[in-house]
Amino acid sequence: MRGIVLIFIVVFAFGFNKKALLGKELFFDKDLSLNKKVSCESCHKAKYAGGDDKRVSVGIKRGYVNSLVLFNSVFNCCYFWNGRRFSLRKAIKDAFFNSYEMGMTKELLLKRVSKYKIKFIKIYGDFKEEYIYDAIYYFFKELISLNSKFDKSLRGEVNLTKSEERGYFLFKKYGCITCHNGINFGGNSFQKLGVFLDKITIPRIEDLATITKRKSDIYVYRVPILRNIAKSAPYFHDGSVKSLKKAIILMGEWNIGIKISDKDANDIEAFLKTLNGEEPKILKEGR
Amino acid sequence: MRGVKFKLFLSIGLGILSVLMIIYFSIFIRNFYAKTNDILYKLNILEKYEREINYYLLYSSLFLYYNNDKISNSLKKSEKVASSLIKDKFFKKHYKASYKNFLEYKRLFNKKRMLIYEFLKYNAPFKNAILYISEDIKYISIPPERVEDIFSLISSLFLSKSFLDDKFVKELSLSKFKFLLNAKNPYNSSLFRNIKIFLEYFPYYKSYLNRVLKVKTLYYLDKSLMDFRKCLDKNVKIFSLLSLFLIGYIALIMGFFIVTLIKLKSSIYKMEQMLIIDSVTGLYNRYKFNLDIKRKRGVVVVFNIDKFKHLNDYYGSEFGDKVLREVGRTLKEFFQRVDRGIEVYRVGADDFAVILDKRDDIEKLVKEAIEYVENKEFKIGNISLSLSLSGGISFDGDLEHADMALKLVKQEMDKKIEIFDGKMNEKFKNILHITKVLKEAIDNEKIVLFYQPIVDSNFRIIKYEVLCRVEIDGKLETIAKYLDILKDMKLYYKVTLIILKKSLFVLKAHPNVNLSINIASEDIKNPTIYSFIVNNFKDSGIAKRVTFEILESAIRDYDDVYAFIKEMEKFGIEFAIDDFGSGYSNFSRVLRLKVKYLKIDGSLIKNLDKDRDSRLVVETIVTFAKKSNIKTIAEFIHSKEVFEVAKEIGVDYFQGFYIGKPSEKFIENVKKM
Repeated sequence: MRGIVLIFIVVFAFGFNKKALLGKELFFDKDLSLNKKVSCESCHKAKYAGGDDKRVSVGIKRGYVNSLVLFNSVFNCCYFWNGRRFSLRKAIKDAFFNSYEMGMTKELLLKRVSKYKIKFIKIYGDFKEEYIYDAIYYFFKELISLNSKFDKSLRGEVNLTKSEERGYFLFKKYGCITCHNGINFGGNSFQKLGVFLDKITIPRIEDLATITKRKSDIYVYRVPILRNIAKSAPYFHDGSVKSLKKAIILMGEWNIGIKISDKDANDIEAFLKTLNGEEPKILKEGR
Repeated sequence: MRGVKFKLFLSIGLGILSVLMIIYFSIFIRNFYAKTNDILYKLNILEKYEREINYYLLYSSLFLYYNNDKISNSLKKSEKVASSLIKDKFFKKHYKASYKNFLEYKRLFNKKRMLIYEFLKYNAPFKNAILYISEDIKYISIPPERVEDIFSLISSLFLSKSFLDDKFVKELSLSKFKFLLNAKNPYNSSLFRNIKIFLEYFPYYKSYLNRVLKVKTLYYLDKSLMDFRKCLDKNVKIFSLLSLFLIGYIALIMGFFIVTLIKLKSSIYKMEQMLIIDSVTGLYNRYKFNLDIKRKRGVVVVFNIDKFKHLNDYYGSEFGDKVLREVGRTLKEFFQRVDRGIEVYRVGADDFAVILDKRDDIEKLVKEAIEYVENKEFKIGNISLSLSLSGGISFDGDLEHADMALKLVKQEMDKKIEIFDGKMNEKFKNILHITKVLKEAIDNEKIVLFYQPIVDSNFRIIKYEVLCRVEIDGKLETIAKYLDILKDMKLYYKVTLIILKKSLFVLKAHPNVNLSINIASEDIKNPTIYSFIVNNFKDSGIAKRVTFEILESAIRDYDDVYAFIKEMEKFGIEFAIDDFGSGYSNFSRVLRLKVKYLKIDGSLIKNLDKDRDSRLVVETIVTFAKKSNIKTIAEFIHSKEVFEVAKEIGVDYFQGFYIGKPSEKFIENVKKM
């Protein structure tokens, strides 16, 4: 009796939510794209913290923005480069019907997912379209990559190197932290790219103005998160910058109005690398 | 019966319905309050979040280092709660006004969220600009004549931020400071560019902060809450009304139950009353008596109205019923005066019973009761009459025994009250036995005729009186002893019929014999006897040899008897009045009957030789008879002395042991003196 209770406690405390596990299956299922060649995972790889190493990702078609990282995405205020969705479930749904990403229709999606019908009924008691997004949402909730070196140093478990320490200081001093703050070092506000530029050269793709149609929202993007930033190169919405150091220097010029010296950039990069978190446990499941 | 069943099922149905209603109502109320509480909680927490958002917003506008997560998380939480409320069908259905305001709140919330992110968009570079301005100013290189301008500019910037008022920077012309850009010092240009950002972003920063804070989300949330409370008050009122209605409904059902119960009880009571109440007198009946006597053993007294049957016969049963009612009422009146607990029961046709506690003066009490009734004059219709009552008492509480005692009272003329004792049982057993034997004898015509001669003064046999003997337990006995029993059993006419038959046979067998036959006045009315006489005695050869003796005291209706005599005399039958002079003889009535003979009662003849009074009476009768041309017969002539006196007085005929004893055979010659 005590054994059974113990097993229950273990399963309950450490076992993954069944919805999340189902979401994981869906996440890796290539059948859920129009041409059955790509899954969600194709562009959101665990290796790259749920992002992609390609400049722009290729769904059923070649897209036009850099793949956003999924690790820790539940902490963000809103989704997509322009933050057009406040709801993660809706963002997941959007991905299925985006003609560049999965390219599905509702009917086709339901048909393709129908092989999971029994599982859905077991877990949800029913099979409905919204449960698909919900399952994936629960999977995303498990895609948490914290406990980085920086987190540990805050808890006093490890010491940062001098360079890393200085990088953190500069990160604050230069005002990077004004936008890159919170649990994800960003992802909680919108910002205009190139505040200090009279003329910006980087292409303008999928900014907030495409949604709001307001002039003031041109080049406005949701602030990207810096957790696992070292893993998720290339950088910026068009993936045009491959090196993190270069991205740091560019941000200094564009949005802070300073020229960050080589040494400072190195230190800041060192600091940013301490933000690489642990791999989410759910991804180790079933391997 | 069907009505009762229907009511029963209706009651059960209503009961179940009310229970279901209460269960449904309580579940509904519980759900309602749980859901209402949930909504109220959510509305309150949204209000809290709203204030939290405003607080964090102001906080972020003031501090350089600020975690935007606080705002975005609060927005997320608000969004989650608000979305769940929007989807809440219960909220939409039961709190319409509140829901409408809530929708407005949600719309404004979305707007506010956009404004907040807009504000944050301007806030960050603006804050960084302040950061850099305050940093750069330490390192810039400027000509001394410009120092004042620069300081005045910087102070204007900070004043405008602190006052959140752009009048301090409105007049500023940035071009005045373009010289900063020309210097080699990178801080100079940084300062210039950050001042530019400041000036550019400050109006947005200021206006968005104002706009965000002016969004009326809180107003509509409050309104929604207020409407919610109003509506809740209304709902509570409805519920209390509903529960009042429910209580009313249950009370109604209870009332219905109670009314039904009362009705049922009253109908049961009525039925019980019908069962125990005598419909004629309104007194308790014999059934109730049997119930009561089982409960309390007491002394049973039975009262009987004397000659009630006659009253009923003369005046009709309706009159009889009235008499019964009056007597019952009077008896009750008497006994309730003695003790309110004493009830009077009607236990038989004209029998009333009471159950008395054992006490010493019961006999006295019964006597008083009888006197109370007898002294009362009953007025029924136009007729007023007084009644006489007899009572039978049984100390062992047995109605049968009291009844037996009563029967014995009836057999004895003078007694009014009899108390039952064990011997009576014997007597009644005997009577029962005799009754049986008599019945058997009559059925088998085991009746023997005896003949006693009646002679004239010269001892010539004129005729014989037919006397009847019946065999009881091997002995021949005179039937006169059992007359009452026979009359009670309605057997008497059968005896008469047997006598008539046998007499007829004798008359036919002995052409020289004349017979005198006893007939009761009841027999005259009996159609069987009447037709027998008419059919068999009309023959003149027989009729002339027959005399019918009728008992004077037994005559009830002189007219009937007279009519009968008249009819029989046509055939040649003669009549005699028997036992004349006993009790209250009425000369005039007897005269009217126009009979041939008077038989002087034996009690007058018995002591004729010794008793002067008897002699005087007999002399009077004889004188009267002679004058009326009626022959006289003296019975009970048991000695020569009596015979001589009777002869001297002038009696015409004689009968008695001195003349001849009754015998089965005819005595041809009576002994000579």
